[in-house]
Amino acid sequence: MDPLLKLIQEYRNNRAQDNSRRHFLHNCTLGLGGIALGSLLNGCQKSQNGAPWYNAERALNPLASLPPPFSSKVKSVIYLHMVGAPSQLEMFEYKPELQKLHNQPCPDSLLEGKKFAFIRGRPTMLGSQAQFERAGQSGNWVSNYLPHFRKVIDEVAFLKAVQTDQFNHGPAQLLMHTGTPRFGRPSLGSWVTYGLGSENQNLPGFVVLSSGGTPDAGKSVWGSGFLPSVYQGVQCRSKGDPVLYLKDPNGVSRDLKKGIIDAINDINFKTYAQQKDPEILTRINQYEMAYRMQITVPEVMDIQSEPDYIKTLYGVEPGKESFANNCLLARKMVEEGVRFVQLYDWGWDSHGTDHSTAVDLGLRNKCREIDRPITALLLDLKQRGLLEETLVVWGGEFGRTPMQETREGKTMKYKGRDHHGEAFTMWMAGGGIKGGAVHGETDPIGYQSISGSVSVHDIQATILHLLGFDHEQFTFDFQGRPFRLTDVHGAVINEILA
Amino acid sequence: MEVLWELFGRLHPLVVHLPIGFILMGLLLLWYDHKVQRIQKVLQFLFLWATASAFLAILSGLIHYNIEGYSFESVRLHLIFSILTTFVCMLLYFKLSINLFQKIKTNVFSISLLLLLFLAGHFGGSLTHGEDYLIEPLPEELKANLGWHSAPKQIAIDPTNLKTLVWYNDLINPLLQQKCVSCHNPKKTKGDLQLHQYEALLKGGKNGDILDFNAPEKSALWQRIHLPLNDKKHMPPKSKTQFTKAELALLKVWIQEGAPEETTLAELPNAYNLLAPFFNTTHVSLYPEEALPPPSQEDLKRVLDKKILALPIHENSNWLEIAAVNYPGFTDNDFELLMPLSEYIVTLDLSKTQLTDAALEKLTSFPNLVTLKLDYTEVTGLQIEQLLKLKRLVYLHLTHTPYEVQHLEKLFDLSAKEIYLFNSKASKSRTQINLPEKQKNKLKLEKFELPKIPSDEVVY
Repeated sequence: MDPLLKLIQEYRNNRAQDNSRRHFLHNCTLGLGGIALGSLLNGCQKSQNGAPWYNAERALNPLASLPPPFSSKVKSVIYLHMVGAPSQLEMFEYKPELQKLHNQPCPDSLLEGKKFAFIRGRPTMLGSQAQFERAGQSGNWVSNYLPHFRKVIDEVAFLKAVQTDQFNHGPAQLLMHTGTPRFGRPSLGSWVTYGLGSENQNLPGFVVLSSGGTPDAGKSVWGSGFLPSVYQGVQCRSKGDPVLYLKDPNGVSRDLKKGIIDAINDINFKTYAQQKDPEILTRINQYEMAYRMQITVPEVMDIQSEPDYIKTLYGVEPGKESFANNCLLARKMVEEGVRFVQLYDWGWDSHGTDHSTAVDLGLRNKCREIDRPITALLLDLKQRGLLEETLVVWGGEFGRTPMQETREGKTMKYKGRDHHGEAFTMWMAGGGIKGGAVHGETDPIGYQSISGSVSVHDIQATILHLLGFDHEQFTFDFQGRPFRLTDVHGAVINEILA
Repeated sequence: MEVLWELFGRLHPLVVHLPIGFILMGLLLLWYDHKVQRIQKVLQFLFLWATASAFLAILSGLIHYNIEGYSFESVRLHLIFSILTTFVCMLLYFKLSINLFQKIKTNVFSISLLLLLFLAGHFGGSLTHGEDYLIEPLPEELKANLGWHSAPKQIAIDPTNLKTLVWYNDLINPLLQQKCVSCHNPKKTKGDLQLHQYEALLKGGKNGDILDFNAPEKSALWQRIHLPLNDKKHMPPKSKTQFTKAELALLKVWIQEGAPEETTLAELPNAYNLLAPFFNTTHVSLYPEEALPPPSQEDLKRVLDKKILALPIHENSNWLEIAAVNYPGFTDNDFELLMPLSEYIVTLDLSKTQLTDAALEKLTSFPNLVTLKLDYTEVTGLQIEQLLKLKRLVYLHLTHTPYEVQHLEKLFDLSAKEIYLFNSKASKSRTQINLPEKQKNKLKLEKFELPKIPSDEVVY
């Protein structure tokens, strides 16, 4: 036979084989099974698209609102962080025994095996510089450094024995806000915005306001870590332009700007369609958000427009950068549907190296600066009916020693206290919190906890719980394994929950 | 040597499966062969080995029983049936091999052997897996009807009668029953310790007393549960359910109080806080219990297209939360969009919208509303009595509205428990408002102030 004809014949045979019923049944059973299995598995999905309906918008807008996995007690969080670590012994921890030991040398038993940031040699005990009184119906203790706070003490649940294993500011702040003392993890606010999105599409979901300076750990404490960067905190300034570079440049109209943004986003979206990199969505979203924020942010950030009695209530100083302004802004943001407002107030590192860090002088000034604003914030949220659905958290990165600091073993000119992580005070107030509760107890000198000790991860677990998350199930896959805010630790502090 | 015995004993659960296998195989072949009788030799062989391995199993079982501290009560039935099984197996072997008991039919032996084997196996399984192993997965109603009650998993305390609670019976015993008694009971007595009743607690175990009344925190009971989880002596063992923080606190106070039995909690100063975690919180949900089918996708889409926020209250709920935060242009006419979903909506936030009094009438078709927010709207209260039909309403927000003083009375009978009227026209009114005592907590008209105090100005 002609070799060419032979080849054609072979081709025809092969074709015939492919078209035969026998071949179909023989070779395609696996494929048929797969198809059948596929249609069976379809029944397991929540809807035809494979995802619940409320997820649909997330695909295009990473800040779209999502329901919490479990029923929630609060919708928003205002977290007040006193950067530098406030002294619990001058604010909430009444320790008459320590007063009696004032100026006596610290016994070895308290120093053995302990590491201090600055104390060297044998320090003396330092009694509280404040006077304490019981306040409210709960009769909880509060010092005369916080005279206004007495009014809201029944709204607040105290954690008197919070524990951290970090004794330097940076790592301790990172632990408090990202769940680990090292860099690279998302902050609490980022986790929350990732999980719940943001209700108001014209405002960021996670806003950061600071007064006095940036925390020691830098902007990582509101960073998004391995989460898409759209979830990182947006820092707003209370002085000058609230957000930098938000104003239209000279000679550029809003319409022109809108045209530019639309064109850029169009190109970005085409790239996203090809590469599916979530960072591209982040970028698209940032452009659009920035455009919308141009109108809303200056409006929300304008405290001048508030009535006078509100300005007096908070003690605001318009035009300045102050904690009082930030507290009022926090209320305005929460009212507008911002999910997480993080406040940092700098200047609480009361070592006693100078006037401003002395626990009897500078600390008292710091307390005055926050006393009225925090009280006003809780009262204002309450009168507006917002306290029911907002969680307010107050604390520092650790506490302070009951000993007078002896830097390099020398006696210091001012009264100060060193870093101390073994037992310090934090409080929470708002939705789902049992006002007036006290959890945790420290020894008679406030040095170590004797009961109810809670860890930083316990606090994070509790905050997530109130927002409707199980901290153990709320994870994000990164580098081949799921990560969570509380790492492998944490338990919800039921004792302070209503 | 001791170790080898213990090991041999622990192999008992493995060894028992040898005779089981031989016997089942032998019985199957016996019945298969009963007509033709071609493999009598094989059957003899099988039942010889079955008998031999059954003896081995009984030996290992006896050793296991002696070393691991099971009580005789608990192993009795297993032991009796195992011995009977071995015995009948041996008889069957003799019948097959040397033709003993010619008058008795082989089937009498084989059937009784099968029954005995099942019984011995069942009682053995009850020992390792627990008596309620098979009953546990059955539906609760069935169990109740049959009279098998499973122990409650958690202590549930009624907060109203704390003073009458008896330390041991009401609190400590249920705790120990949950966490300890499965290994420390008269049947299974690990470490010679029983924790099922008060007398047994006082008796202690292999290492002596477990309660030290002079130094409570030195009590073995106290120390063992506080060892690190990875410590071999930590109790309950790592793989078992651990005590919760609240349970530990309760145990601690009990030991500190001298581990009383009959004493009540009447004298205990902080009983409420201590017991709060155990309160029988059959939490009354704000939201209706009855389940609705999922809302229609088309209805939802129409709402979402208007930029109205619509979300379930949580992932596994069909109740909806609606907010017009991104749609300030919401007018009374837009209610038509929400109507098809009206039964689903439990939270409705229409703050800062163009809503007027006229729309309140439409709210009557939202029977499940729990939270209604009308802050910063033009509601004056003229139609507010329409809300009387909302039986589930708890939170009503009317702040920053032109709500009139004369309509305040209409709010008294609403089911809402918290009505916020801050900065409404009524709250700013000059005339003195005299609310009945009962309504003062409900109607929140207050405007908080923080008067200046001298220390506000002092700089240190």
